[in-house]
Amino acid sequence: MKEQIDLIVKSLEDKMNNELTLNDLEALRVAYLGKNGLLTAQMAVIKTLPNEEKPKFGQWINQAKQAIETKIADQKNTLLIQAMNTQLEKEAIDVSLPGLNFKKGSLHPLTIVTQDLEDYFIGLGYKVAEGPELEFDKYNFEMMNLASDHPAREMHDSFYVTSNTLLRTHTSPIQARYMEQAKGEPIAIIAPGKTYRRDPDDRTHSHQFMQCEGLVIDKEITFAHLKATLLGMARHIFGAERTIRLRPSYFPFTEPSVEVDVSYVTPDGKHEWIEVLGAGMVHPNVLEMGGYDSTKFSGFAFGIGIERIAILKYQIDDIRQFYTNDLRFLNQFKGVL
Amino acid sequence: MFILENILKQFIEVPENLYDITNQQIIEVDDYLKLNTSTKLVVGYVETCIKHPNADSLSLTTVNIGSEVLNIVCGAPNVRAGQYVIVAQVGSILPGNFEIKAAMVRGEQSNGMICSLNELGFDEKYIPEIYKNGIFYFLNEVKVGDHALKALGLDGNKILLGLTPNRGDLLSHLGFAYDLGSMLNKPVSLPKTTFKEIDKPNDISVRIDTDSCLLYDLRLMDVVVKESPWWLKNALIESDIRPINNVVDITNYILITYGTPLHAFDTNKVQSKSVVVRDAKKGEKVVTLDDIERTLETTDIVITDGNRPIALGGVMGLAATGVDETTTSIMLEAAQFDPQTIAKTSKRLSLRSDSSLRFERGIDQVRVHQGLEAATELLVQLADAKVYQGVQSSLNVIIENPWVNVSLDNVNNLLGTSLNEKDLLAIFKQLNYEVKESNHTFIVQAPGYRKDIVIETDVIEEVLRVYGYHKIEGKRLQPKSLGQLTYKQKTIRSLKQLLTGLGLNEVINYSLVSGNDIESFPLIGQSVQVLMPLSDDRNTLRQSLIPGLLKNLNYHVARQMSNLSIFEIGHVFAHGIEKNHLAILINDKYIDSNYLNRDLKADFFTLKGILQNISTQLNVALDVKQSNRISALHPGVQGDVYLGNEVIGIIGQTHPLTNQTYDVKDAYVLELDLTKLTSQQDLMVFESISKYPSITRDISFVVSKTYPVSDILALIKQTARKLLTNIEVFDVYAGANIEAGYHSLAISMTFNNKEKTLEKLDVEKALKSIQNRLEFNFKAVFRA
Repeated sequence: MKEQIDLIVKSLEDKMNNELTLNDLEALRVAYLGKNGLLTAQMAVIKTLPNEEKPKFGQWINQAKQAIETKIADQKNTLLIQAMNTQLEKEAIDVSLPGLNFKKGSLHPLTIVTQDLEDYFIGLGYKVAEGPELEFDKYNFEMMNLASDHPAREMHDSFYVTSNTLLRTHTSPIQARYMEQAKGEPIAIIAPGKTYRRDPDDRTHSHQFMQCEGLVIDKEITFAHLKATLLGMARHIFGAERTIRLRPSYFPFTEPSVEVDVSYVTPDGKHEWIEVLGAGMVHPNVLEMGGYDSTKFSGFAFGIGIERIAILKYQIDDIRQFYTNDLRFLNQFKGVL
Repeated sequence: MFILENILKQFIEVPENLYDITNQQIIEVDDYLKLNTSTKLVVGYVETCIKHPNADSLSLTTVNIGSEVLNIVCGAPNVRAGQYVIVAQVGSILPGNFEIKAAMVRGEQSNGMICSLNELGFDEKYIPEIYKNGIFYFLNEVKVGDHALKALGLDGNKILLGLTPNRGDLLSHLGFAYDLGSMLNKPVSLPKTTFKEIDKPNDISVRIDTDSCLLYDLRLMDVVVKESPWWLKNALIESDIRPINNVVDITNYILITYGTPLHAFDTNKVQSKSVVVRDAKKGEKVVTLDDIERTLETTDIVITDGNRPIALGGVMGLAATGVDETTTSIMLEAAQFDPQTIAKTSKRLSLRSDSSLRFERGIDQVRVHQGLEAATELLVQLADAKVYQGVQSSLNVIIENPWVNVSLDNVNNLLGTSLNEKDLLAIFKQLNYEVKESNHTFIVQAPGYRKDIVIETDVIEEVLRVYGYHKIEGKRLQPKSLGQLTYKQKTIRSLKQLLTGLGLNEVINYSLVSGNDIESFPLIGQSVQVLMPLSDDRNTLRQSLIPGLLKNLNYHVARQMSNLSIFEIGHVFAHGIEKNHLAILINDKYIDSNYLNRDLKADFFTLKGILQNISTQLNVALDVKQSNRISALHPGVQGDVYLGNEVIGIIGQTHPLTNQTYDVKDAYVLELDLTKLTSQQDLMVFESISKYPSITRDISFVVSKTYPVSDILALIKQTARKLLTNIEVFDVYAGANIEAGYHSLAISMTFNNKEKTLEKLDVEKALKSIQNRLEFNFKAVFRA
C-alpha cells in the first residue's frame, strides 16, 4: 500500500517541470489533492483496512499530501516572485529627475535685517515701538529739538502733505511719542520703520528707506553705556571680531552726538573703517519736552539705516534693488541669515 | 567747505595726520586730496628757442631748471626764449597718469616737457586766452628750479569738510585753525598787517538805522583793478569760487580764510559821502549782482547811500554799484548782521551766497575788523591800494557769548568718566574758554567764534571731543524692562512666516504712488497728496497695496517671469487714516510642476485657500461673500472678506481693463485690513479628542446657483449643530443633465459624539432634517 502512495507522489514529480504555469500548477493540485484527486481517492482505501493499520496508513497519506502541497506551492512561489520582480523592474524610475517644484517663499531682506535687530535687542530687554509714517511736525521735528527755523531742518528735505503733517523723515518721532506715553518711566526701546526724504532715487539714495531707532532713558545712563551698546550691536550684526570708532557729529536731538564707524578688513588685509550709524546722549531739551526732568534722567539714542546694514552685510550694489522687488533678488535671501 | 593746507599754514603748523585729526576730532571729512597730482614739476627758464630742423611746427629749446639745462622739443606756438615756464622732467607724472619719458622727436633729443595749463589738469574755463593754445609762462618773475606747483599755489592737500549746521566756525581757515589748535593743544598765530595809510581822511560817514545790523566797518581806498596772481586764483578755484578780478578775489579770499564776508562798492558809482544801513521798505525793488530784480520786505536789510540801496545787506551786492575793470576807488565794507534776519531773507528770495551762509551761522564780532584789515593788506600788495586814513565804524550791539555753569559731577555723570577739576580746567584752557570758578562749579564762556556753546551739555560735548572718544571705557547696560514683542508684532511675524511657508515672496513697495493708481482700487478715505512731489508718479499716498503688486507683476511679466506669488504688509493712508494692510497677488502657476504634469494654477480658489490658511493661522473666522463693488476687479469673480459683520478686505480676479492698464494677464489679488486681525484675541483652548468612532455620510442634490454655497453650508452646520465635526464640498457639477442655472452639489459630512458612541439613528435623523431644510429653504432636489 505504501508503494501505491509513493507511486502517486512519484507520478507528480514526473509531471513537474519549469514550463508549468500557475494555472497548470493549480490544475495539478486539484488532480492530486482535489475532491476527486488521485491522493484523495486513496482515502477511500482506509475504510477497508483493519483498525490497527488505519493510523499508519493515514500517516502515509498525510505525509504524501504535505509533500505534494509543498512541491506545488514552492513552484508557485517561484513563479510569483519572478512575476513580481518583472513588475518591479518595469516600475523603476530615474531618481535623479527633479522633484516637485514647491515654491520657496522669502522674507524681504529689509524684514530679515529688522527682525534680527529686534531679536537682538529683545534679548537685551528692549521693547519694539512703532508709530505712524504720516507724522505731525511736532513729533518729527519740534519734540526732536528742531524748531521751525532750525538750520538742521535743511538736512531733512521733507514730503509735507499739509503745513504741519509730513512723511516722517526719521524714526525719531517714535521716540517722542513713546516718551509722551511713558509718563516719566524708564524706557528701553528700539523702533524700526519706514522713513521718507525728498531725495531723487539713484544708486545710493532712495526717497523711501528704513531706519531703526534705539532709545534708553533712565537714571544714571552714561555715554559709556552707549558705547558698549553700540559695540554689542555692531558685533552682533557684522561679527564678533569687529570694533567701533566714534567721531564727533551733530544731531539736534542728541548731545554729545557721534558718528559710529565699524572696522573691517579689506581683501588685501588692510584695516579700514566704514560709517554705519549715528548716536548720542539724548539732548536735555528732548528729555524735557518728553516729560523727563533732565537733571535726574539721562539717556542715549541711536539710529541705524536698515538698507545700510543689508548693503554692507550682503554686498548689495544699489539701494533701488530693495524696492524693485525682482524675484531674482528676493529669492537669494533664503536659508538662515 | 574746503580747507587748503597752503592757506591753513599761515595760522598754524599743519600736522602730518591732518586727515585723521580732522575726521576723528573735528568734523567728518568728505574728501581729502592733493590740489594737483602732478609730480616733479619745476620752474624753468627758456634760454634758447629755435625752429626744429625737420618739423615746422616744433621748436628746439634749452631750458635751465637750476640744476641743469635740458634740451626739450616743444610743439607750442607761443614758446619763446626768455620765458619762465613749468617743466615736467623725465619721470614726471601729470594728471591722467601721463608719464614724461625721454624721447627722440624727429631726430632731436627731448628730455622733458614744457607744460600747458591743460596738461596740468586746469579746467578749460579758468584758462586765460593767452594760454589757451600753448604753454603756460609766468608773467611775474619766479626763481628757476623752484617747485612749480608752489609757485602756482597748488602745493599740498585740501580737505572737504562735511559741515554740520552747528559748526559755523569751520566756515573759515582761521576758524578751522582754532579748533585744530584746541585738539592738538597748539597755538594759532594771526599774521600782522604792515600797510600804511595815505595822508587823506576816509570821509564817508556810516550810520546804522536798524537793529538787524550789529556792526558796520568801512574803509576807503584807491585801487588798480587787474587780474589776480595765480596763487590767489587757485586758492579760489580750489574752493569752488570763480576768480573775477583782484579786488573781488581778495574779498572772497578773506571770506574763506577769515570767514569775514566783505563787500567792495565802486566809490564812483555810489557817489555819496554817507552810508546808511536800514530795513528795506515794503515793495522796494533792487537788482542784485546776478542781474535779477528782487522785491523786498521790511524784514530785509539794505545798505544805502543815504537814499537808494547799494546792497542787499548780508546777502548780495547790487549790479549798479559793483566793482568792474573800470573801478579806481572802492569802499570796502565789513559788517555783522543778525543771523535770523539774513536766514529769512535768503530763504525767502532763494538767494544763498557765501556771505549769507556765514552771517546765518553767526560770525565772530572780532573777525569783522580782522578781516577788513587783512583784506586791506592784500589790496595794498595786489591792487596797489592807496588806503585813506581810518576805518569808519558803527557799533550797534556788542555780541558776547553766554556764561555757562558746568559742574564736574555732571560731566562725569553724563560721560561715564572720572575726570578731576584739574583735568577739566586743562581742557577748558585748550578750548580757549574764559573760566570763573566758584564752589566746585565752573562758569565758562566759549570764544567768540563758537556760537554753539550755550548750555552745559554743549560744553560737555566739547570736553569729550578733547578728552577723546576712544578713551571712554564701554559699560554694559542691562535695562530693567522685559524685552518682548507685542501681540500685534507677533501676529505679523506669524503671518509672514505662514505666507513665506506657502511659497510667497515678500515685497516692499513705495508708499507714494500716482493719483491714477488710487481710482479703481479699494479706497479707505479721502486721498492724501504731497505738496511738493518729486514726480507725478509719486505724488499720492497709497490707499491700497494692490497697485504696487500689479506693478511688480508687470515688471516680472516683462521679463518672462509670470509665475509670481507675492505679498506685502504695509501702511495705507487717507485723510486722517493710517492703517496696516496685507495684500497678496498670485499669477499664472502657483506650482509649476514641469514634466510632472500636476501644476497648481494660480486662480481664485488657490488664493481663497491661502485666505483660509490665514484664517486658521490667526484663529479667526473669515467669510467671503459675493461682491462687485471694486471696479478694478472682475465683477463676477470678486468677494468681500468678512470678519463677523464687518468687511475687512476683498479678494478677486483682476478686471480686463485693469489688465490693460498694468499690461498683465489675469491676476488674483487679496487685500486685508490687519487692524482687527492683529488686535489681541482670546487664548486658544485645547479641545479633547473624541474617544468614540465617527460616522461619515455624503449627500448630493441639485440646487439653483443663485444660492451661495456658503449659505447652504451654514444652514447644514446650523441644523446638525454639535454632532457635525467636519463638512467638505467634494463635487460641484453643472452641465449635461442639469438644468441651466442649477448645479449639483455633493457634500460629505462627518458626525461624532464626544460623550458616547454615536447611534446610526441619530445621524439618520440629522440627515433627514438637513434634507428637509435644504429642500424648504433652497428648493434643493435630492436624488431619489
